[in-house]
Amino acid sequence: MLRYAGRRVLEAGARLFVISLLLFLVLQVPPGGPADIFAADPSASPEAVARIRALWGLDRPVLVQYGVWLRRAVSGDWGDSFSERRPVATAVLERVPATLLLTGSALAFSLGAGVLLGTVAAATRHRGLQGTVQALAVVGMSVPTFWSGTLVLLAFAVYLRWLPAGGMATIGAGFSLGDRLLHLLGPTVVLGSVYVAQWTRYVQAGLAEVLREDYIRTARANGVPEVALLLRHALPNAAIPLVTIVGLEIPRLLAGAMVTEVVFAWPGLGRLLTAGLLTRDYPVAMGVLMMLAVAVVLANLATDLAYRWIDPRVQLAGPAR
Amino acid sequence: MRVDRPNGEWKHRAWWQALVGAGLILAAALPGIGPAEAQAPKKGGRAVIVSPQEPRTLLPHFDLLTLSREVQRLVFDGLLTLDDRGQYVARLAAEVPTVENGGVSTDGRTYTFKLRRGVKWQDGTPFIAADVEFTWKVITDPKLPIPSRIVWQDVSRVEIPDPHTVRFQFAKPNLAFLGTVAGDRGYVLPRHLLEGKDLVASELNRKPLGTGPFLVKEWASGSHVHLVRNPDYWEPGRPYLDEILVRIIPGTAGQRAALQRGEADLQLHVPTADVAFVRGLADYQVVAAPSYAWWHFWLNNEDPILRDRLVRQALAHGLDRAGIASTVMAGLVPPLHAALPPAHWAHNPQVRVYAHDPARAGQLLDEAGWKAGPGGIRQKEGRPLALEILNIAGEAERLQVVQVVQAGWRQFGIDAKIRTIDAPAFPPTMGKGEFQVAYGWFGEEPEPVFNLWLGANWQRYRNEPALELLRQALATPARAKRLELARAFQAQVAEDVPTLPLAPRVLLNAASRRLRGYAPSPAGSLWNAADWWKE
Repeated sequence: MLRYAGRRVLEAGARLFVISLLLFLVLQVPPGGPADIFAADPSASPEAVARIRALWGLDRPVLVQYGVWLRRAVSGDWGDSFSERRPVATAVLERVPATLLLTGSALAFSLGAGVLLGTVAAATRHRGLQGTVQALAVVGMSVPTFWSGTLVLLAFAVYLRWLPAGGMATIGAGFSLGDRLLHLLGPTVVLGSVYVAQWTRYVQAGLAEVLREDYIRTARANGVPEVALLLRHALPNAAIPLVTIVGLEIPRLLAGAMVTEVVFAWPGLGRLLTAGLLTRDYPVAMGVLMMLAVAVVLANLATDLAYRWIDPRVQLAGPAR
Repeated sequence: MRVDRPNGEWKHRAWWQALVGAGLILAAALPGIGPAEAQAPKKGGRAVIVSPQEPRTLLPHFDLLTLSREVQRLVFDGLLTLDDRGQYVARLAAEVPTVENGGVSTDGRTYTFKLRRGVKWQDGTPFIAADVEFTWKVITDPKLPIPSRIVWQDVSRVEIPDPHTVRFQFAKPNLAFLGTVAGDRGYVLPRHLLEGKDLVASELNRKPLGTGPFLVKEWASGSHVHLVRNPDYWEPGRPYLDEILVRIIPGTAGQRAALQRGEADLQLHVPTADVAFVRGLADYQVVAAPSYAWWHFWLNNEDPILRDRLVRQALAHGLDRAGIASTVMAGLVPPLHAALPPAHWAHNPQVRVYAHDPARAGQLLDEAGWKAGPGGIRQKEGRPLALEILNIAGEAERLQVVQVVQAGWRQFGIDAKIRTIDAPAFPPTMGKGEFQVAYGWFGEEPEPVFNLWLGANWQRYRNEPALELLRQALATPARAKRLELARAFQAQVAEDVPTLPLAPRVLLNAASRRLRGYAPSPAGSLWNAADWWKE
């Protein structure tokens, strides 16, 4: 087990190194750098911009710049943001709680709704109901969040005034759980609706298969009521693969949700990353992307190790992941 | 007044003084009986400003983003500022230096500022001339990433004869200095907090400390900047407002929602497409901020096709300025033919006008050897007349303009394609000359520095006699002569068509009718936030 774990950890490290190099190189591809956000201003001069470029070390070869970044990164220093004049770690970590709140709530909502709809769709004999549920799920998946978000904002924040018009909280009013929940509601539903479809399908397919199993028929024959059958016998078994998939989804929570964050003025990582890319703020972009990469690699590593621990037959030379 | 004067004279004087006294008493009573407009400003309250952008830093001079500089204006003062009529107003200076009061030397090489007394930094330290000298040193420090040093870098020496006087010496006459000092690049930094420190990493980037009317209480990244009143502001009784909240709302849906719910007192940078919407709201009005900027097309004068003046003139005739101004720009601006906008005093209203005339454009192209070709696209020596228009992504209005122009040029045989890139990619692309036509805006200082022509010169205009006019204008102290030279240059440029001016650029804001005192100036929207009050 230890050898397996050691090998997997080394592989994870190597993967992260390659990812970081690729990301760094890809970020350099579009023309323009951090100093060019000034260059179009009417009072800028080419000399001043060139001097800034030199001061920020942007005229050195790309691999040298990468080396500098890497050296700082492995010692825990994420670098400094060119736009925000403060450490990248501060800028990024400041947004993590808001992001996790939004994406976590959206995941919880979509899971809840997905399980509910999937169960209904699998349990019912009624073709119409099945069709409706599937249609709802597909609609949720197809409607772009900038459209559904704008509609929610218009309907509930402007006309009905049931919800606030964006932001995380009422500014200057002190902490209030109710206020926070109200602000969270709109973006959660909008973002979650996109993922409801996939959970619905998983649950429905998984349940449909489980419901065909012998032990279900036996339980039914023994007089177990249908609802108890579903909830106590079928669903838990159908949920096992779901748990694995959800586990691997969790790192994605850190990616934020750029469009939803923009529509609802939510201060999350999605907006930070986009702003970083649009201003060529390489340290910030690397910071957010590498944080995401580390989370994904760690989640995969944890899953690998968990599998091996549960089933020692799993070998090193398994199928490529 | 001496009592022992001859009787007649004494009586005359007494009458006059009685009249003045009565007048003063009357004037003191007037506010009570004047029209309702002359309301006394109400103290207190909070103004909410909605902005699509977020400031990047609140320490002046390190960033050129408009919103950064606007919010800095709430916390910092400059020696001067510009009011809504484009006139200089004294801030940290006790008075505006002029030739008449000796503040500006007649040869334009020496500027002397007498500083206002009793001004304190927001931590209580007195403001002195050394702060101004320190600011100049920071701006011209080659080891600091300052994006713009123009005009400041021409100062050859700074003298401090006493703690309340600063004198700037220039080697050559410089007429742009007052404009620079009054603008966003004129804020004064606190020497006692920053000297010898690392300015780039300073916490003043996030929690600035100036002499201005407001203090930053909190800056929640991505969400808002919360400012509160500076109780020790140097102008007594100001600011009227207790708080200003700058809310960062990046999406138009959220901005509109804030206006519809009446949660905003001011929205900055309203897109033209939203003007009709704002006008439909009873509580808000659209206010255009005056600016010295304009929209235009850069032409690459070294491009093989555009090298020919006839082609450039044809493009000018093919441009429906009036049409674009009245449709895409919602009729908010007139068409522009000169290289400076009408708001600027150096604008030349008499330059050659290229009327929208596709037929004439076609004639000019024929003359230039571009004859009708297959598919309706002209060609010369087997090559089609294909042009690429570079556009910056992000604003629907820009794309609309470029699409209208593309369709217009197609009418007389030009195959124009639009290439869209994002903002940071624009300067290097232009700098390397990897473009033919590019759409964007440019601006001028209150006292022109002609950076478009003498700076990066992306259009690669090499008419030396014309550029010499500009250099002379920069060296001439007499304003009348400068105006003459600037006008001559604009006339020449209208003949040569190195760029295609389109229309003045105005920044639109939505202001609540409850917000009083809001009067944007070329120095931005927040220059007089200390005078704002809410009904």
